[in-house]
Formats: sequence, structure tokens, C-alpha cells
Amino acid sequence: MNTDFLFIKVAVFPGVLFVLFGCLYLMYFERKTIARIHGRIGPQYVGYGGLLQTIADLMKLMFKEWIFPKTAKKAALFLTPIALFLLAFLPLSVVPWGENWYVADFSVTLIFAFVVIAAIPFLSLLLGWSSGSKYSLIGGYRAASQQIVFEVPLFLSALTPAILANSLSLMDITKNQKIWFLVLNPIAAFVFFVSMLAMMERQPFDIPEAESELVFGWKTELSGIFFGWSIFAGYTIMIGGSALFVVLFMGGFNGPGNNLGVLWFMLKLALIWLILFAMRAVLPRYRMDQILRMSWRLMIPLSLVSIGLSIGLLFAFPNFFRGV
Amino acid sequence: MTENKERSSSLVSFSYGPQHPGTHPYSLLLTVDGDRIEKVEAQIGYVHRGLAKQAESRTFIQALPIMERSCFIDSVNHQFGYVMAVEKLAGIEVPERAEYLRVIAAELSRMNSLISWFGGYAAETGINSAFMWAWKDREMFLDLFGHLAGSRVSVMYLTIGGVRWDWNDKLTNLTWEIIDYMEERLKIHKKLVMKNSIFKKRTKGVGVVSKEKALEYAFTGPNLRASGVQGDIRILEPYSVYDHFKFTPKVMTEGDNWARTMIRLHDIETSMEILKQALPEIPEGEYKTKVPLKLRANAGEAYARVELSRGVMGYYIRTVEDKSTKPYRVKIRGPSFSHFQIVEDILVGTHMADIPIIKGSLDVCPADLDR
Repeated sequence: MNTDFLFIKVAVFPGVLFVLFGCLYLMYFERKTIARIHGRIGPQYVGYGGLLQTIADLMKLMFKEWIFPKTAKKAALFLTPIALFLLAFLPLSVVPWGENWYVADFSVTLIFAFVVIAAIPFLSLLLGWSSGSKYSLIGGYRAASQQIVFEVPLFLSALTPAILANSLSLMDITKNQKIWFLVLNPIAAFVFFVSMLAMMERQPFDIPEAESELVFGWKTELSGIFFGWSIFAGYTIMIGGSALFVVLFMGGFNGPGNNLGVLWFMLKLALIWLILFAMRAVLPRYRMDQILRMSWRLMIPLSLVSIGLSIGLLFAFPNFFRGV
Repeated sequence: MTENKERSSSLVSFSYGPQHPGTHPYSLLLTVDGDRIEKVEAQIGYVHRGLAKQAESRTFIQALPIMERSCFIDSVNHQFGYVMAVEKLAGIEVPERAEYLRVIAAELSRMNSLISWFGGYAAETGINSAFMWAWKDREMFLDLFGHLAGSRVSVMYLTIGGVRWDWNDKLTNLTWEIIDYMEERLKIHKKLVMKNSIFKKRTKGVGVVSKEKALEYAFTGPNLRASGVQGDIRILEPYSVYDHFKFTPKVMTEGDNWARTMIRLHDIETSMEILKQALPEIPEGEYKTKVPLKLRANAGEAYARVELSRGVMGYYIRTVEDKSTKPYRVKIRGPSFSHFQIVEDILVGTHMADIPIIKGSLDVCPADLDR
């Protein structure tokens, strides 16, 4: 394990500061992009072109009064958003952003990332329950069932890169990915992308926080900085999910030129984010039963097909895959 | 018995509104079993202002701005019915030029109302872009109303005996501009919303109102036409100069959210057809009959009804003394109340996520609901 500059890696890049500022500027660029699609301008007054707007928003949330329902379980309500945020952080520690830019690298990083992701639904359910409000509870149930149901196709489709690269380490999967697995197995990439959207609760899967039905879903009763934590957790999950997609299906830091790995990674990530922003602007949301049906009837069979396709590829071109 | 007990323990009841981003000021007391709705109880009256009662303590002309407040979004049409009823009661002749101008303003107001509803409905399903784009289109109408009468939202264009201001060439050009612009925009809106497969999944076959049920609940306007009955009174009993124009409001038989959305988009096209026929034919002459400020009417009663963007609005005015300056009784019949009643019926058995989609498709205006 490469421990050079470990402190800088943990504290600055690709660690805490990078993710915090990543979240803030992801929010900013999301607001700007969606404003453009809507025909608006978006934030523009705080800082040059509104660049400090999200920081100002964070400051506002820090100093806001905390208001909770009488029936809320306070300890759980205070701790869960922070736990969610920290938990969302962990998968990012094993993502290889560049050849030397990673916090941790061991032989089963893929499994580690998904084990952490598997814990997220329970926290959203806990938060929904501890809020002591019926809207939050319904939102929590929706979030938990949606995320649990989409974990299955997510994990199954993540097996494809492991099979094709013959490794469970994200670093090895990146290095062995001479052709993007998106091209080799588009079915798996599609299933992974859709399941990732559902895990991130982004449109068209923003059912747990559907504004016109549930106010703000399981985040309804959060106020002040706890609301801020939950928003940060959401964006950290978004960074983590899209980074995993880049690593598993878009060749990670691979790209022409020497020592440009991080740049390529970021460009690919930006591409995914633009797609996510556009989807948020133009897509309506599904209904709960429709996406459950979609998961069981379409996504899980498709992910099984994709595993078959990967194994078939492995047997058809043994030299190509074993040569790496 | 035990089964019943288990069932009742899985029921959750809570209030959906009035402080809720998905409801305007009204509330639905919901009893849900998981995601299924078992019982709905509608509670209205949060924005009751007693418009009809207020009109009774004012002279006929003073009541004009109150009538507009039934619902701000289709303001010209709301006044249309009232001025027609007063004119019937007092026996006032309206010049033909004024009738044409009234129809033009009413159709513009109708288009404004329909495009605003469309944006709001798209936003309830989650398409925020369509909301922004539709409400940007609405600016065109507001600008035109600004030129027409000086105010953008509460237009106050109609008055007893005619209209308040004359028409001019600039307004004609602006209206033609709006027609050209909306023709393009409607294509974009249909592409973005109506062709979206998720939107189809959410609206087709959901919230079905059968023909019998629509008639039973006294549906009018687009909601009635979506259930297969031609109920547009611009055709059935033409008021003003609507019999001078050729137009056919669409009728569909499905009765679901999808049909109601399609009908409303088609209604915008119908309004454009009427405008295209009316604009070149505005007759010369007076735009207003001189009416004394303190208008007096003899004892009697009058009823007039108009087709709003969301249904039929009826105005009943009664005076009991000769030469009275104020009405003795004013009764307003709005479309939203009869449309809203049905939520207690059709929401039962649907999913929680269908609530905003179904009640949004009925185009209920809470201000018109309570008045």
C-alpha cells in the first residue's frame, strides 16, 4: 500500500476537503446548469457569477435555529444525518482517482464499497422513523424499499467489471480496462446506471422526497445544520456513485498522455454529472409500485443476462482477457 | 375479526395540507394502508372571502373588481359572466365592437390560464423545465394585458356596457405575435411532456372519470369533454359573438388524466382559431355604451353563464326594488367546487403518489373553490 503523502491524501485530495468543496461546487454547477435549461440565470450575486452562493447557503444553515417536532427521537435525529454523511464518505476512500491518487487500496475494494453502500437504506429509514412525523416516516419507508430493491441489480451488474478484469480491486479493474466495459457490456452499464440513480434518489427516482406528495420525504423535519448534513450526504453519495460508474465502466483514470489520469477521471465524471443534471431538469418521477416492478421484472433479469454476457465474452476471447 | 383488527392497525391517517407544497390552501384528510388510499375527506374553506356577499353591499360597477378575484388566473372570463348578467338585468345594449373585444380578451385570458395550468401540472409530475417554460410563455400574455388595460394580472378590461379601453394596431400586432409564438411553443411542450414515456405511465388510465360519473358530479368544461360529453357552452348556447366563429372544442372518451391534459392543450389551439377569425373582423364603432356611474336596475333577476378555461361559471343577480343601485342577492356558481368533490370518490384505491397527479388534472382553483 502506497503511504506517501497519506495525510495530504486524506485531508486534501482525494479526501475531506476535496469532497466538501466538491459537494458545494457540484450544487453550484447543478443550479447553474438547470437554470440554463429552465431559461433562468441561476445564482449570480454572491461572489463572481454566484460562485460563493453555496458557501453562503452553508453558513446560513449553520446559524439557523433547530426546530424539531415534539415526537422526534432527538438523539437519532441529530446523529443520523452525520452518520449518513460519514458513511457516504467511505466508498470515496477506495476510488482510484489517479495512478497514485487514492486513500486506500487493497484486494477487495469493490466489495468494501458496496458493503458500505448497503448500509445507507437503514439510515434513511431510521431518520424517517426518528423524525416523529408521518411524512418523514412514509418518505423513509419509500427510501428504504427503493434502495434495497435496487441494491440487488446494482451489485449484480457490478460483477461484470470484476469478471472481465479478473479482480475485485478497483485499482486492478481500472488498470485492466483497456476497452471501456461500457462498450464491452452495455447491458451491465445500463443496469448499473439506472440502479445508481435509484440509490442516489435522483430524478426520475426522487420518489422518497417527491415534493408534491411528501413535502421533502425523510428530510422533512430536519432543520439547520442537520438539514445541511443530509444534503451533503446526498451529494457525497452522488459523487461516490458516479465515481464508481467511471471506475467500473468508463475506464477510470485511463486516457492518453502521461500523468493526466486525474484530469481524465474528472472529465468523465463531469460528463456523467451533466447527464444527471439534464435528467433532473426534464424528467418526471415514477410511481413507487412502477419502479419496484421495474426492478424485479426488468433490472434483475437484465443484470443476470449481463453476467452471462460477461462470462460468454471471457470464454470467447480467453487470450484478450487473460493476457492482462 | 382478528383480520379486521390487523387491517385497522395498518391504517395511518393524516392531514394532507393545508400547509403542504402540493396542496394550495385546502386539506385532504387521508387514511392510507401502506401506499393505498382507503378514505379521503376534503376540507375546504381556508380562503373564503365571501365575494358574493361583498358584491351585495356595493353598486353594480363597484362589484367589478371583486368578481375578478374569483380566481386571478382567468380574470377576464370571470368578469365576462358578471357584466353579461348585469346588462341583462338593466337592459343595456352592448355595441358589436365591444363584444368582439370582449371575446378577444377572454380568449387571451383563457390561453393564459391554460398554459399556466399546464406548467403547474407538469411541475407536479416532476418536470420542472416545462413549468419554467410555460410560465415564461405566460409573460407574453401579461405584457399584452399591460398594454391593453394597464395592469398585468387583474386586468379589469371589461365593464358594464362594453370594455374600458379601445383596441389599437399595436395590440393587434402583439396578438398575432402571441399566436405565432404559441404555435411554436405548443409543439415544444408536447415534445417535452406529452411524448415522455414516464409522463404517459403516470397519467394514462389513472384517475378515470366515467361519463356517468362526470354528469353526476356536474362536471363542466374540459373535464366533462375528457369524459366524452360535448359541454362547451360557447357552442351549445353561444353568448356574446361566439356564434360568428367556427371552432370545435375537442372531445375525448378516456376520461383519464392524459385525456384531460390533451383536451386543455387542444383548447389553447381552439382559442387561437377564434382569435385568428376575430382579429381581422373587429367592426368599427363605439367600444362602450355610456352607462351612468350609479347604474339603476328595476326589480327582477338575471342569470348569465360563461365558459371558463376550467368549466362553466354562472352568475345569478336579483334585485327586489325598482331603481335599486345594489343587487339584493348575488350567487356565483363556480366550476371548481363540483370538480373538487370527486376527489373523495376517485382517489380511493389509488396510490399516494397519484394524489397530486389526479387532483392537478382536474384544474381546481382554490380561490374559486371557496370564494
